Amino acid sequence: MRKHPLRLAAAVAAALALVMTGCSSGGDSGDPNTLKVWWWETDDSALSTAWKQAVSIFEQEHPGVTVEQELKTYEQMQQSGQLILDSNDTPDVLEYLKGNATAGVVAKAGLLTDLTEVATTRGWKLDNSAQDVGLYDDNGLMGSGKRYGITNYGEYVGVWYNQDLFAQHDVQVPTTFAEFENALKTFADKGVTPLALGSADYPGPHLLYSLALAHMDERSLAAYQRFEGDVDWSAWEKAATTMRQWVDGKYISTDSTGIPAQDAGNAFIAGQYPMFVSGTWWAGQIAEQPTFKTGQFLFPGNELHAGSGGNLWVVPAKAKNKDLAYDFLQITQRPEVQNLLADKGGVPVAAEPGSASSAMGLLVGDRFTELLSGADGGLALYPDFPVAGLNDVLVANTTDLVGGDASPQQVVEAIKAAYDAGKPTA
Amino acid sequence: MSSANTASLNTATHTVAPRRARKGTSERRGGYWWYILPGAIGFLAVVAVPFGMNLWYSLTSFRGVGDPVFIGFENYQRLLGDPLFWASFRHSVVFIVAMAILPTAIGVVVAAVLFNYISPKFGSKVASFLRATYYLPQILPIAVAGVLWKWMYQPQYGIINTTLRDLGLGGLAQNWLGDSDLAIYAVMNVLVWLQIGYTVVVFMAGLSRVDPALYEAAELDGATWFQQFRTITLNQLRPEIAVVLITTSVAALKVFAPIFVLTRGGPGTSTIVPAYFSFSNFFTTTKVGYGAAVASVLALMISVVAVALLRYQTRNSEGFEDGRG
Repeated sequence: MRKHPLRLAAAVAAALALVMTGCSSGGDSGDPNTLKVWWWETDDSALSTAWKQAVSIFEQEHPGVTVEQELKTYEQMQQSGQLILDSNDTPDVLEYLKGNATAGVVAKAGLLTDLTEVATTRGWKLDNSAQDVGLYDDNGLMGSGKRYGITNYGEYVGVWYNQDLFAQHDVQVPTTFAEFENALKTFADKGVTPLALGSADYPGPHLLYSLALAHMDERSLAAYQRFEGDVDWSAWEKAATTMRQWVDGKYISTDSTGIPAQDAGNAFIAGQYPMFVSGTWWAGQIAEQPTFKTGQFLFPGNELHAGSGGNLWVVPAKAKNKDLAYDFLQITQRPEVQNLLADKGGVPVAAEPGSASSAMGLLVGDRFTELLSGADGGLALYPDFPVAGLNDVLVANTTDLVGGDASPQQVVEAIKAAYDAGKPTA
Repeated sequence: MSSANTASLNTATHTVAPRRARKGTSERRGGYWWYILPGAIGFLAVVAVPFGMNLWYSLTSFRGVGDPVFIGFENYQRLLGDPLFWASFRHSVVFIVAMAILPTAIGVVVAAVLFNYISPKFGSKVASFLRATYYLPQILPIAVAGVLWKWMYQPQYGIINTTLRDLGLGGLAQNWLGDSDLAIYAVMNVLVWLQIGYTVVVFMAGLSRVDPALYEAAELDGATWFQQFRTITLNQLRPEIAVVLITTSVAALKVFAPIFVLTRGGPGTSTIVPAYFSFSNFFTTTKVGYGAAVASVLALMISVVAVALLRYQTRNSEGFEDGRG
């Protein structure tokens, strides 16, 4: 009599196990004629359009192979990507987040396929600095080591500006830092807040980093991004001091501490601000706004600019059809896919010159090519890249700086503490 | 029948009867097991095993993939010296005010007004309608409610600031969620708004079981509305108030979604709470072991608070039943 509950428990547990095993076996996941592709870009984006083109070419060249595409979200991959890659039901190829805290962690854990040999054998042209985001060393640090992913696009941070407002207030496009501050002052003196800023989000840290890069060179950049030598924190302190002065000079509104990136971009697009320091991912939306003429210049006076290759295509170590995945990766690098990306306002890494048909496509595409071909690369990656979780610290401290809740020294101390705590030990 | 036999019979009766009783009880207990089993399996699978794993991870250095490295109580030691961890618990206390104390206080007054004033004067349908409007935030997904409030709080075009400016009260316009001194009060406001519906509904249900004769007698004695509220309503609602305080205090300690949607712990770290702190360690910094330690301490604190409040409630309701309440 007493054994019955246990027997029932065992039966239920066995049934649960069977159900769960059945669920996770994934049916046709091992089908040699199926390529499973995951990405998170929304349907109307330039990237999604280009990748659908890649899928179409793949299907033409692989009759009998079915492509199963699943749309994920960025947050989904950021928060549970590791678990997906560690499961037995991974896709064959997927879009994954670049950086030490994401691709670096899973590369180090052996969950990604080493593509170094495949890239060499197949002759993939990945020798530009945009592709450094796919390289990870044995500690999972980005920038050198084995190749675990490739990117098909690039991005950089510049200054978007409203040409109509510049003309209306008789402001010239600045080419030096002094001219930039003069332009900011001119607007502020006329009661116009010159910079749209979302300090509650990544634009705050991007502006702080742009100001810090003004005082950094290749050596200090390598120290910050790759732990090669001592970080020059005085550059950050100068940047924080300048940013605080910009708040005092009303170049930045203190309201920006309650404004996320999207709101700041929307306000710029609505014509409420003359300038917006942010990345090329805004190009599509900015180009589509019909009310004013838009332009973009690089952060005046800087040799180095925040930017890098885009997110990665990776092949999970447990992928079932790796050869098909390599074929797909190869197709995404072809001119017909890259040119389409340029045409849609994206920033391709391997488009043919002049392939973009739109003015915005030409502007950002050519500028990115210039940054890539610069003697030192010109791309300074992003401020949160070195250490996992640094973005939260940067956002919190930039907000405190703009809100006047912390001094520039306190802000830099806090960033330094988080940076030092997250540094790889060996 | 000899006395010896009688004694023997008595002994037999004494020995057999309890055995029968025990057997009967044991059969019933065996039968009850079937009812407990599904819940027990669910509890094991969804609570006990994950909690055990969480405790294990909290003793390791683990990045979510690869092998966890056992480091003993290092995460807990670090936790004790982490100012952010303590700040998050300080904010929890503030959110207990916003999610438990204020909604309970407001809820009991609103319920009494609806039950004792609006309902007799304007009809039960009006009272029911008003109760439903109070309850509306409870059925709204928290993501939707959060986005709505973010719009309203937006410093430049949010409805709160634009209304203030339109009324010539521009000086009162604030950077509601962007000012580190103000953000916690702005979040508290949303939490109070979210919780009042729950407390009003529970208290109105509680009031419906109160004997109307009590109020009639009090009225005949010339008691004012406030006197009736103090001596009858508050006293009669004690069991409901205890239940609401327990559930809302526990909810306040583990609050996550409103913070995630409204402020993500900011500006700076002025609204960070333990659940968000744990989440960011799990998923942003991938310090899974450390995040697990935070989650374990949080679970412990919630258990302590829940048990303390439950014991208090049990003691009180026992006194109530004994006529001492």
